[in-house]
Amino acid sequence: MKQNLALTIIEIIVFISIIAAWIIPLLPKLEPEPNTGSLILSAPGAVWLIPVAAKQNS
Amino acid sequence: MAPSRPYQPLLLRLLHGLNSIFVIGAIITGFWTYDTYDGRWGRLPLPQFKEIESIHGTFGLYALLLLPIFALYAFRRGQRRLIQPDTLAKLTQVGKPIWWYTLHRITNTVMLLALTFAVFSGKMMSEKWLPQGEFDHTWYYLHLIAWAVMILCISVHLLMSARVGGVSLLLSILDLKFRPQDSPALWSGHIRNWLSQRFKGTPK
Ligand code: HEM
Repeated sequence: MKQNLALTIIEIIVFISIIAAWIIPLLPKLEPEPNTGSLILSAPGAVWLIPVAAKQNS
Repeated sequence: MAPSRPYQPLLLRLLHGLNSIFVIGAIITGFWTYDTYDGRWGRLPLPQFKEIESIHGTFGLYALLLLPIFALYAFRRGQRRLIQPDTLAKLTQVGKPIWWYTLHRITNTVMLLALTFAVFSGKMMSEKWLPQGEFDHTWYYLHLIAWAVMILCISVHLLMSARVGGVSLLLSILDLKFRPQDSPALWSGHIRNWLSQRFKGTPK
């Protein structure tokens, strides 16, 4: 069969979009969410949360 | 004898049928969601039904989950029904049957892109936007556009199918009977064959 280049490009677009549709919503947002009191256990999260928690306890 | 009717492979009919149910379901519930929360471009007297948003999300999610499987079929086994290397050349034969069939193949191909755009723009949205009255998000506008594009595409897809094959082609995709050689009982064998062909001789 002759090379169907246009169709191959469309197929790649479709599959990359499907993968991106699952991955993009999982990426961390650029701006931190306003504090909702949830515990973030990552190191930078903890550094940011400790003063917040202290403030809430006082 | 009954008039002959085009035969569509069973796997195509199953994937295409499920996909149609999810997509048409998403289109209807999507309109109802717009009608409940937004309505800036007009409303129908539908009941205000807040849960419709998550029902729409479910149809959309099923369409997104099925899309890779349907696309895999269409781009491989079903490739004859999509654009061909000679598509541009055939477009010069205006009015001939091959011209119509070429338009039909272009429409089928555009269907896959339109559906990809619809599920992608939907997945970029947050389910919190509409209940919070936030209509001013780019992805929301794109998703509304995708809805209109989908309706346009389905209309053209139906018109093209009717033009190239008439009612008998339209009904052939909805038919439930299948030929013995198309039986699902043979599918596990096909898959095993395909895997062994594919991985035969690949260096370990
Ligand atoms: C709702 C969303 C729909 C989408 C995304 C869609 C998409 C497609 C695609 C991509 C193909 C080509 C499959 C391949 O390459 O093997 C196809 C074929 C076909 N579709 Fe649809 N379709 C939809 C709905 C419908 C509906 C409601 C009908 C009406 C009965 C219909 C009738 C057909 C027919 C008759 C064919 C076979 C064409 C042929 O053998 O040349 N489609 N569709």
